[in-house]
Amino acid sequence: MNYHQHHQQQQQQQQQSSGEGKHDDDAAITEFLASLMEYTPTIPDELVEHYLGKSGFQCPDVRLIRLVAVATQKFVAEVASDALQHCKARQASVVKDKRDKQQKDKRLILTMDDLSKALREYGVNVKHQEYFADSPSTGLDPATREE
Amino acid sequence: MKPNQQTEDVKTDPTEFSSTIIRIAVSQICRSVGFKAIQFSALELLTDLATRHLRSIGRSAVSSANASNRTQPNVFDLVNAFNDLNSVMGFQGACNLHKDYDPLLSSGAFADLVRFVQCSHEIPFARPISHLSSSDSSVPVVPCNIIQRESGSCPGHIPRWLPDLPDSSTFERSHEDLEDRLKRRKYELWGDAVSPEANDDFSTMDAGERRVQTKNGKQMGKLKFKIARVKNGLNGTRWKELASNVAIDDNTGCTSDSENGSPLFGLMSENGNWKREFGIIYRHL
Repeated sequence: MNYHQHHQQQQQQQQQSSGEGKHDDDAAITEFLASLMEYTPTIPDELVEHYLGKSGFQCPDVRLIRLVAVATQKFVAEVASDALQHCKARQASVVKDKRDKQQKDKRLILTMDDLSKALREYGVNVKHQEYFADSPSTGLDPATREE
Repeated sequence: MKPNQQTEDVKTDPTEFSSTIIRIAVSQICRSVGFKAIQFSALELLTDLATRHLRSIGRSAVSSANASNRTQPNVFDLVNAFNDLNSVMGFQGACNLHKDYDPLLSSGAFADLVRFVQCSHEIPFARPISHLSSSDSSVPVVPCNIIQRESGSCPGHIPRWLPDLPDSSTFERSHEDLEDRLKRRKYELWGDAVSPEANDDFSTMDAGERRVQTKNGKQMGKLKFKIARVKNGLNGTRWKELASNVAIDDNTGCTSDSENGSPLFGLMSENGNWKREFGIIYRHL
C-alpha cells in the first residue's frame, strides 16, 4: 500500500531521534482512519468519488474518500456556524420590543447577508450589487421577508 | 426543515443530479448547526462552495502525488491538500509545517479534523440514492475499473492509471451486414440516397415520367456523376453538364454506356431538353 511505502521512505530520511513520536502519530492516524469507517459522513461516498474523479483523484481506498467527505462537511459546518453567530449578533443588536425578539429567535434563517459576512473571512467574496430602492425600509430586515 | 424551493424530481442529467444531492446534504448540515430555514440563493451558494471544495481538495492532492512520481494519492497528499486549503483561515501549527523534525501528520488542520470527527454527531444522508450512473444519460461515462485492473485481468502493458478500454461490443464486428447495420441506425449508403429522383438537378424525369431503373428492373444502386458546370452552348443556350456515365435504363431500353450514344440521343431529341456532347449529358437550363 502506498501509505506504508511512503512511511518507510519518511523514516529513512529523517534521522532524528523522535521516532517514538512518529510511531504515536502513525498509530493515531491508523486509529483515526479506522474510526472513519464507523462514522458516516453526510455526503455520500459515491458522490465524493464522482467529484474527485472529475479532478483526477483515483483511489481504491474508501477511507481516503471518507476523509475528503468529512473535510468538506467540516468546512460547510464551520461556515454555517460562523453565519449563525452573525445572525445571532444581528438579532441581539436589534433592540425592539420583547415580542418581536422572541419571534426572531425562533426563526433562524440563513440569509445571503450573514453568509457573505461569514465567507469573507474564508476569502470568498459574495457581495450583492448595490442598488437604489424606492423606500428606506427595503432590504433592511431580511428576517421578515422569506423568499 | 426543507429549503424553500426544493425540487423533488430526479434529474437524469448527471450534473444536476449530483448537485441536487449535495444540496440536500448541505441543508442537513445547516440544520444540524442550528438554522431553521435557509434562503434558496444561499443554499445554491453553499452547494457550489461544497462542490468546489471537494474538487480543489482532489486537485491539490493529485498534483502533490504527481509531483512525487505517483499516480494515486495517499494520505500524505491529502494532508498536504488540507493544509493548503486551510491556510487561508489559518490553523494551529502552520508555522511548523515544513520543518524537519515535525512530521506532517501532526499538523493542526488534521488535528482539527480528527477532533471534528470525534466530537460531532453523525448525520447520515436523508434520502436513498438510486445508482448514480444511469444508462440513459446523455453524457458518456468513462469506465473506471481500478479494482479489476489491479486484479490482473487486463494486459500488463497498459498502465494502471489509464481508463479502461471501451466495451468490446463497440468495436468487434458482429455478423450482420454493413447495410443491415446502417439500416438499423437509419442511415443509408450515400449512393442510394442520391438518386436521380431525389434531386431535381440530376433528374432525368424532367423529360417526362421516366423511372430510373437498372437493366434488370431493380432499383438504382449507385450513381457516378460530376459536379455540374454551366456551359454556353450554341445559339446562346446554356447547358448544364449533368452527369457522365449515368446508368439509365428506362422503359425504352436505354443503356448506361456512354459510348453508345444513340438511345440517349433519341431521348434528347424527343423533347429537346437534353443534349449529348462528347459523352457528357447536358440539360437545358
